[in-house]
Amino acid sequence: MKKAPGSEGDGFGTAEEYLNAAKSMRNMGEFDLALNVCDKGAAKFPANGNIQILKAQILITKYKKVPKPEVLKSALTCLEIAIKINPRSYLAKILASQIFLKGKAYKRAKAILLDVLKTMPEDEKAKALLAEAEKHIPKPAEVEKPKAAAAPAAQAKAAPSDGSEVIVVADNISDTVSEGLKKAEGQFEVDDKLVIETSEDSADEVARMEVFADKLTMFGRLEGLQGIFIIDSSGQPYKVINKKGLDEDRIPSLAFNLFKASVAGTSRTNFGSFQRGILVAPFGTIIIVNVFYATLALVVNNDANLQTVEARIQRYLEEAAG
Amino acid sequence: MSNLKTSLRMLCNNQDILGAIIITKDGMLIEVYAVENPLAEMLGALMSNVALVIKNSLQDLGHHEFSRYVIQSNKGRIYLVDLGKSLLIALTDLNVEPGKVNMALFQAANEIKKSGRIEL
Repeated sequence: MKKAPGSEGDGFGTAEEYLNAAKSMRNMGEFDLALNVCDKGAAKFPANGNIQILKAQILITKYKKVPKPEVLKSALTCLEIAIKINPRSYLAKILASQIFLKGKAYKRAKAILLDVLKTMPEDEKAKALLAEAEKHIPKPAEVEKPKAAAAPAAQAKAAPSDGSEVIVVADNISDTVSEGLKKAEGQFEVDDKLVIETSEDSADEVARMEVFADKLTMFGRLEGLQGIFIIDSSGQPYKVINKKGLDEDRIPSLAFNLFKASVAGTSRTNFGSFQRGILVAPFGTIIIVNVFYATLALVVNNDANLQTVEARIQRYLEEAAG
Repeated sequence: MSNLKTSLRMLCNNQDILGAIIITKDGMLIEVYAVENPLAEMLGALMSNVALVIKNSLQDLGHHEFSRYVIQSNKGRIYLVDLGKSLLIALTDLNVEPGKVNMALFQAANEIKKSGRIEL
């Protein structure tokens, strides 16, 4: 018999079980229990960035009820770990940028958002957040010029008079988050008006995702199948079937980012609405399917019969998405 | 007529392929066949972005190249083939034989890779 999640030896075998248990507790308003489950999950699966992202989301929700700045700092720490584990995580970067915006670290928020837009130039959310950050960053002409023409590098490191700092977009975006955290260790002043958006699972969404997840059994005997991921609208894996030890952080990120880039590509070129993306990579073929409100990513062997796979996807769509 | 143009023309002789483009990794057009502007430029920019997403993500997974990526919409398919230092894009209708298209793209990619001009 399974023990209560979060208790000693809780009996959870997969990261997904921890994630689902923590989500259920969060949805019931049991934030501390949910955080406890995340901590246990993170200790057992230290390389799983999704647990860190969920923990950050729970902390942000908790902050909305108990607005203590240290709660946001803890959320940022989780996101720092998540971005270190998976530098392509869209959700971790969007959440981190929102915390920086909330903490009035506009240049850091901008640096992270520029990193998101580098690979997803059409992302509406990132564009809107960037516009918000830029509203608070003085334009070069507005910044008072230094009197002496000192060496540019030394000038760049000096903090401007507005208390903000010069941010250089680091090659590794997790460094930008880490440095921001260090900076926030002292006072963490927050913008009371700004609300951080987190994707709370509505009852409708949970029900819909459950249907998508339940119907995955029809892929069970598919020849050459390596894994299946149901990815929610924020890019987080909701259900994972992993038969070949696939990376459960990076494959869903790849599928989600590619889905977003492909949707932008087809809509901008008037090429109709996106249906499938098929990537032939060295480790297998990834088939990305738009299942409305979610993304389905199947990884099959490169020699798998794609017609059979497509027939199965059609059946899945008929039964799961109606 | 350049070798690249010839390669693209031969590729587009295949009745399933509507048009083809060769672009640099940052989306600049190198050669275009049977695709009008501004669509060609737009496709170049957008597909180089798609290639960047793939490349970055695969690098995180310990891989450095991909064979091809196909976007299927309700209007047709866009094929993206990694040529190493450049990218080949081809457009097809929806109801085409994928095997035939893959074969034609494979042959064209080999021809293009042989061309010295692609060393950018």
